[in-house]
Amino acid sequence: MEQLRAENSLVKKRLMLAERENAVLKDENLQLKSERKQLLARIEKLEADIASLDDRYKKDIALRDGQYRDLQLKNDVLSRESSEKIRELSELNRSTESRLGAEIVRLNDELRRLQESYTKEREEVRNENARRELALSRELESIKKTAAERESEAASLKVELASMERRCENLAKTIEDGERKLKDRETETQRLRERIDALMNQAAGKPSCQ
Amino acid sequence: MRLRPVSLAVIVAAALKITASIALSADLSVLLTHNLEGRFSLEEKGQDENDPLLILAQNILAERRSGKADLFLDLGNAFYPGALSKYSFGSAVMDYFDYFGCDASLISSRDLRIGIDNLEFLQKGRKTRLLATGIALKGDRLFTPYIIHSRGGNAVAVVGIPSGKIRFDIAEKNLYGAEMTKGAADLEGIRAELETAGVRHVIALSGLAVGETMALMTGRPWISIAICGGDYTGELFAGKAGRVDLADGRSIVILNEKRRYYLLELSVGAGMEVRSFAGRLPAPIKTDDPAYREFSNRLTLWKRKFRDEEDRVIVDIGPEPVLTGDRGLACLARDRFNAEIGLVEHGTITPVSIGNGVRASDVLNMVGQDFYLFTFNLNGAELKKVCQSDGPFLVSGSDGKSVQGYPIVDSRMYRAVAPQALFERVEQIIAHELSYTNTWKNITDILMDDLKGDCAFLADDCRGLDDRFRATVDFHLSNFYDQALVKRGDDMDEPPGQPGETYRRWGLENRVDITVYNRLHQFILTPYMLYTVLHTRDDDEYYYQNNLLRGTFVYNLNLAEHIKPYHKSQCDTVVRVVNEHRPVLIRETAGANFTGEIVSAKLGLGFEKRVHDPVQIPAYGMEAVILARIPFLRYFSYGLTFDSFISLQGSDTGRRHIRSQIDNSLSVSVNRFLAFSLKHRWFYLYSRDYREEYRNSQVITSADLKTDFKIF
Repeated sequence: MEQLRAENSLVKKRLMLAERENAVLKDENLQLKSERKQLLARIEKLEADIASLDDRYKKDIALRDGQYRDLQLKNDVLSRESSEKIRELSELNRSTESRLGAEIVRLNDELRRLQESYTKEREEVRNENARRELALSRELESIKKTAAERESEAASLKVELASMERRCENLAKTIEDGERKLKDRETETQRLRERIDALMNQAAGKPSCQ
Repeated sequence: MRLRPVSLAVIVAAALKITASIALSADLSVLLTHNLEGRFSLEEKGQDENDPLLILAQNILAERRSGKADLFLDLGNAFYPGALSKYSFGSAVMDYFDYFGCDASLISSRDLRIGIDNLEFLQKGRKTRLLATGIALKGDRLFTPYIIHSRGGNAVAVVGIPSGKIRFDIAEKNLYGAEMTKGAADLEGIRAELETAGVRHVIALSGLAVGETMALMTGRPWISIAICGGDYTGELFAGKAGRVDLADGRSIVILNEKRRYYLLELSVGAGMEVRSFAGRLPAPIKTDDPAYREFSNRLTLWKRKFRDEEDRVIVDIGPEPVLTGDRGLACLARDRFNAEIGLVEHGTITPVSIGNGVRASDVLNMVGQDFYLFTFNLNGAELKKVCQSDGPFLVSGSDGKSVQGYPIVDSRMYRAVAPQALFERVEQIIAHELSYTNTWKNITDILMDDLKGDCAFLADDCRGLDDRFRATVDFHLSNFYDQALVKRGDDMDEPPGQPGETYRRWGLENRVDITVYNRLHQFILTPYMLYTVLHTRDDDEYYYQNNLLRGTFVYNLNLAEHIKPYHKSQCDTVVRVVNEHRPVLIRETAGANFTGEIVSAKLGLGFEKRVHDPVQIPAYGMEAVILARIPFLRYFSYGLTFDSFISLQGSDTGRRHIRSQIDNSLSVSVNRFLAFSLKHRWFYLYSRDYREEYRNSQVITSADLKTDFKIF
């Protein structure tokens, strides 16, 4: 019995190893097969792509060849035309250059003449301005003197005005004192009156001694 | 100028010699790994950056490209206990070696957990050789002991010497006769083979400790260099060594860290010298190597298959995380096989925190060593020895002093459960073979079964196991010769069961202790009979007399180790009616039981009452019982039994009774079952009824037959 159990135990282990390894290898095999299929399909597709691209490139090359030839012809014509145009433009350039030289000389002369007349006119204006400045400075001196006299007069008036103000203040003070004294006298008078009234009332209320 | 033929021959010979000497001097670079333990990650995503073994493979390829790995050698423990490797029975690791050009791997102790059958199967059709000297099936060599590598005109052999930790599966032992032969004898044979093959240099891959490797190299100068690793991880005294040089210049290099790979540069000339030796930590390196891609793809398939089959949730244990460990396994094994003792090697279960859904892959991940579990019986003395051995294993169910809350009795049998490898170690500790029962269930099996059911493995502790009731039945059968000398008062009756006159007799004294107990409660029922054939000197006649029939029922509450409350009911009567009387005396007591290693004592209060022939009023009193057993020399033991009851009858304080019995015995054991003993029994009774005493002194020589049964 123990022997059988021992054998069972070992066979079980071996079997599990074999089963599990087999399962993994099977999965790997399936994976590789599917990868192989995918790669084969890809190869086919790539081959077809290469063939179609081949055709397309051949056509494209022919087309490009035709276009090249046309462009070559066009280039010849255009190079001829451009040479003619260059010659014409060179002629035109030369005539324009001589015309513009004469015009520059004329304009230079005119500029010199205008510059001379302008200098003369400026000198005259400067002299006139000097004369006017002298006259105006004299007039300014006399006005300044008059103003100084007026200012000293105003200062003496100011002193006088201040003494007048002081006197006014003194007078106002005197008036205020008078008013106050008057007020006091009125108050005193009032008080005396009230006293007289009180005495009189007292006198009136008392029976006669007789 | 013309050269003469002789001169030409001399020049050619000289040229050839120079060429040969150049060819014989070369460098050999060796890439070394060890303890890979099949540590593949289980995640497919980002495995190039996260899988430790794939990262190592990237480094191996890089080193190989830069010409630093002429040889790629592994020092063993590559296949186990990684979950994926375990699941693939080592196939994934063997593919790893094959794809990345490992020349040889030393078989180490944990590799054999894959099974020798499977290892042999795996190396078929692959370039990597599994090396081991000394492993044999019915005397035939099982694994290749060496490979030969040619370098610079030199043949260099690599020999694999496994460690002594190699343990075969019991099935392999039984069926194939797998055994580990003595390596030394095998090495001599290998040396002869290597010499025949023209090998000049030998590299030894050793799983032995550095001391053992040194001993192996001493006297074997043909071993050029030794590389230690695998089962041995560099411990030398209190530290770790990286390289040890022998006095003759030969070196032993040691692989310490399993996370590193090592590069060894050797100069191969007349001898073999270490030029450099360094460990490197693998780091991710991008690679487009086709071998790497192919292996990575296959590994993905293994991971996918593993996830499909092993990623199922076995049980939902709730959100509270539980830390797994060896103790849980020991408790589970005790529970599963109803054993009192569970033994588990440290590191059998990797501590992992699990919670919510526990998956089959978690179990595969946590089991570090998977052996069949054996149940076997150890006697108390053997159990103590195992507990005191301080080996790298855990003992559940005993602290070396007690089992299930009761002191270990040297002669008592205890049922233990342990994995096969540990069982073999237990046999070494107790130095004899034990009979065992193979459960044919390995650790993974019982863990899976348990998690689908009770989840005892995840329980906090296994104290519940100690609440299980067990029973023992002890027979004590004595054949004895008894000579009694009785002196008594003329008016006094003999006490129940005690002789009335001087006699000489042969007789039987039989006792059966039936004990039912668990950690907290202990019930002991003891029928006891003393039956004798009496010859009295007075009338010179033989009387067939029933002497004593006693029944005792004791209940002990096992609250503490040394003090236990107890209750005792005792009934004494006679088997045969004597003088038309059947006196019956009962005693009811309750008190405390004081237990020590050698002496135990009961001190209790209660009453004695004669309930028949004649009926008497109860006598209240105090009971004192002392039991001692002192073994000495090897087969001898001294025993003392003191049983006393001091009582007052009724309310009259003057009517005092004293009943005492003292037994002194000296036994010599012949074997476990048979002993001869010389016993002196002294009985004393003092009764105030009569104001008289009764004394009985007996000398008994007997042959004692003792046997016990345990109902687990």
